[in-house]
Amino acid sequence: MSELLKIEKLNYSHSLKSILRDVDLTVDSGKIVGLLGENGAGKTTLMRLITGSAHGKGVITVAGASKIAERKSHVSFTEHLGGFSGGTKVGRIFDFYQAVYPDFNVARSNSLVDFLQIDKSLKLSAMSKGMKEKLIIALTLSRQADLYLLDEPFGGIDSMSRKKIINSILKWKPEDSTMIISDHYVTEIASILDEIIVVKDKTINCHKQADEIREDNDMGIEEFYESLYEGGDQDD
Amino acid sequence: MTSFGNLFKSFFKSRFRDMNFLLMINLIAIVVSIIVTAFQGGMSNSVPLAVTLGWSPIATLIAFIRLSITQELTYTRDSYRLIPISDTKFYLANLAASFVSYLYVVVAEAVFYLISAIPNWSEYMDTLNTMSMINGRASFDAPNAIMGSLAIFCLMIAIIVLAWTTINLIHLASRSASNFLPSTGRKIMNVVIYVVVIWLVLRVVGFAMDQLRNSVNMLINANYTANFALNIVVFLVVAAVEAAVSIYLMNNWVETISE
Amino acid sequence: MKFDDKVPIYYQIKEYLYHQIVTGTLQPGEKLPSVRQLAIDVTANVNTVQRALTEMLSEEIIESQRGKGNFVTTDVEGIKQLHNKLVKEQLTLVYQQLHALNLSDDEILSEMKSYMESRDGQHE
Repeated sequence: MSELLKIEKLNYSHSLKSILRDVDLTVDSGKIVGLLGENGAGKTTLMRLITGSAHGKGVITVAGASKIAERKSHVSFTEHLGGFSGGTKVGRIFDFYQAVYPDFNVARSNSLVDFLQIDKSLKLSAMSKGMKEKLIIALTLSRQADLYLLDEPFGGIDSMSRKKIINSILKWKPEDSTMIISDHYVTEIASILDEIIVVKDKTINCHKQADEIREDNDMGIEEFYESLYEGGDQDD
Repeated sequence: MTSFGNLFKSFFKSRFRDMNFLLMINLIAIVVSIIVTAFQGGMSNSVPLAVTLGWSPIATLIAFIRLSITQELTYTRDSYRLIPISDTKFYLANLAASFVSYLYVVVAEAVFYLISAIPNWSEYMDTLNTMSMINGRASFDAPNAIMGSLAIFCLMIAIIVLAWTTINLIHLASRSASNFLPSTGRKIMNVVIYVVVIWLVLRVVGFAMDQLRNSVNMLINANYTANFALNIVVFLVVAAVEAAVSIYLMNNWVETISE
Repeated sequence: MKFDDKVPIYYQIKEYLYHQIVTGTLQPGEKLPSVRQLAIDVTANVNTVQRALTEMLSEEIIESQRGKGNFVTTDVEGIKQLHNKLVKEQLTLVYQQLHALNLSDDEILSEMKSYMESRDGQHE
């Protein structure tokens, strides 16, 4: 197990507003990490800073690479396919991914498509929310990356799809790779997490082992997470 | 890392499809117009070329606009910007894919001209010869005409490249500036930028049309070619500077649209 | 598998597998599913499953054969001891909780007895 992601003194502001301050974070390889925080806390922003889609001040290193272009080759992010028009056939998107990502793995991709029951002949605009989430997961996991960033992969989808997505994560995550999953509702993924990271008050509020929380605090992850906010209220 | 070639191919593929769709509509419009003319009893040998020439500017303008939109969208979407490649190669692949697609449309239009000129071929050749004679030559001079066409072609290329690098620069500069502006300021700026871009596109297109109109002379007289060379060089130098600034902005400030 | 979010997941996986071994769902000498398959079966992380298995290995309830995977021990005596341990754990739990309700040892015994009799009655 080695250091896979390292963030040092990261600061980010947008539209004259400070979004993240003094973020320092180290995550080892081979982990599944929950990135928790309220809506608008900066979870997505943190992911965008890691992928290089947003520019902050500070150093971000993924698998030894800190230059944005190189970093991109190690990171697979659940992008929401905003670059494709509604009329685009799903199969074409897979073809595009295969053509532009050298780490795209056809065998993985085909089994993911089977497992998640994705219909490649559909048009993007004809997909329901749940289908689209599954498509995004399949595309993201089709790449054999070192760091997977899943941004709220369970947003507004039914429990069957959720189970399928969780199972495909467990099934297809390469052993040495690390996966960061952001969510504002913890319980549904609590059992698969090694660690949790909480973004609160514009920075990393805590970074802990999941089973350590259960052992030391005698609390569930959800309970622990909520307790952080109760504490915050008293401070105000 | 993704190679320039692979990225170019992927960008080009979808734009090529897009352009084929456009050309198909263009062809349908031409055929329908000819049929309508025939029904109205106005059919003659010169109608096909006239109709084709009539639709052509509209088709090429739409092609230019479609490609511009696709190109700008590509700079700001994660679907493309997450691809592991340097910003310089990304910029060039994006520009080159649009450019080659546009070239394809121009060549296709030229083929349309040739085909629609066939019914009235001899008459058009006569006209060319007459025009050459007016300009003091014995007959239509093919090598000279090719040189002239080539010069127009180069000028057109330079204008297209310059138009796109300018649009890129304005777009990317506005994206960069929006990082610093509060949201109301951003909205006002967006409106200003849309107006500027539209004005600029119209100017560039108008200028290009003027140049092409003037350059009919070149088909007959090669002496004009030298003037064009300088124009082209100036255009390309400005385009290169704009491209460099755009790439710098991509590197440091431009963020994708988060959904 | 349904987890109790308050109890460490690796511990719950261990308990779950022990239960299967003791009840014979997993027979002595039987091969365990791969770590990844187990992770999918119980919906937990590979690392967590690995931690559960590591503890089971050190408690000698499973044995690892290099390149082949993990097997339930053929040491029947060991499984018996595990069985006793699990029974004792459950008894301790019941005993403590009944004791907390101010029941004396004798009362606990008689309560248990009448409870079991009433259950038997239901079964008939």
